[in-house]
Amino acid sequence: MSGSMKGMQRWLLLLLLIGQAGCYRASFYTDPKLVRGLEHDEWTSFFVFGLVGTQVIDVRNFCEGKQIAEVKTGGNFATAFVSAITFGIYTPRKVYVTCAAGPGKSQQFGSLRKLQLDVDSAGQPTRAVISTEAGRTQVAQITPVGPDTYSIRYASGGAR
Amino acid sequence: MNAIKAVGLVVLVISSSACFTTTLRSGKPANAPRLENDRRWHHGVIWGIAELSGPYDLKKICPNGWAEVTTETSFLNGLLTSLTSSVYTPQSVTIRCSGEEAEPSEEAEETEGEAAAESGTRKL
Repeated sequence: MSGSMKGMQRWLLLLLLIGQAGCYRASFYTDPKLVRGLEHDEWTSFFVFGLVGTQVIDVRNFCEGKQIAEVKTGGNFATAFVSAITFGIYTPRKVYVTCAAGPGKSQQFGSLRKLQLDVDSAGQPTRAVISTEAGRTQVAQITPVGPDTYSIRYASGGAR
Repeated sequence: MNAIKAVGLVVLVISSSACFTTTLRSGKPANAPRLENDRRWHHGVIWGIAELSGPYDLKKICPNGWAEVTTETSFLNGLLTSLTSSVYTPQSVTIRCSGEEAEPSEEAEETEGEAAAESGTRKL
């Protein structure tokens, strides 16, 4: 086998490693005890070797009420490839967000099915009872927030 | 002279700026970072494939919850990456906690412990 072929094989192996492992990684666990669920990723755009561009990402958008198990910044084969073919003019990176496994906060109580609202003789709400598809009910707290406007709150984990 | 000034300006801008600045927010209010978590060096090797100083345990660093983490490549980080042909690839990491209290470092704990002991001695 010629030297150039060996060299190419080495580069391919390296690219494969980068593609599998990801490069320029910085990882943060939010809680090591959390069981990891789905991993989401998003491209982040930078230009001129990363000098131009600042990315701010709200990680709550990824997990739909579930806890976040891990966040990570870095790149992979695709970002390295794009950076190489654009000669560093466009140098994307990636953000990885791993959600915790299990139901999200919004799913712990289940989807709402019925809201029973009792009112007094003046038409003011006095009692609210929320029922879910799972058959659970819970008395919600009613708070006036303005003229003829009320906020109804219930505890996601405290249903009876 | 103008050319030297221009080059100097470019060097100044590059050295004072950072590359690939990415901030991840949890949605909680952020405190100012503690000194040890402000642009701490994150050591990576071979194009950053392997992390030598991570992963970071945010629950340990921020017991009351984390607010923001920022990763960036400072001028010095980039210079070292370049000089070592990406064998050593450091980054700078900033961790901002939420809430007023955050777990003090071991050094701080020792210092606080000593201070408490001194205070106790004085009271006695």
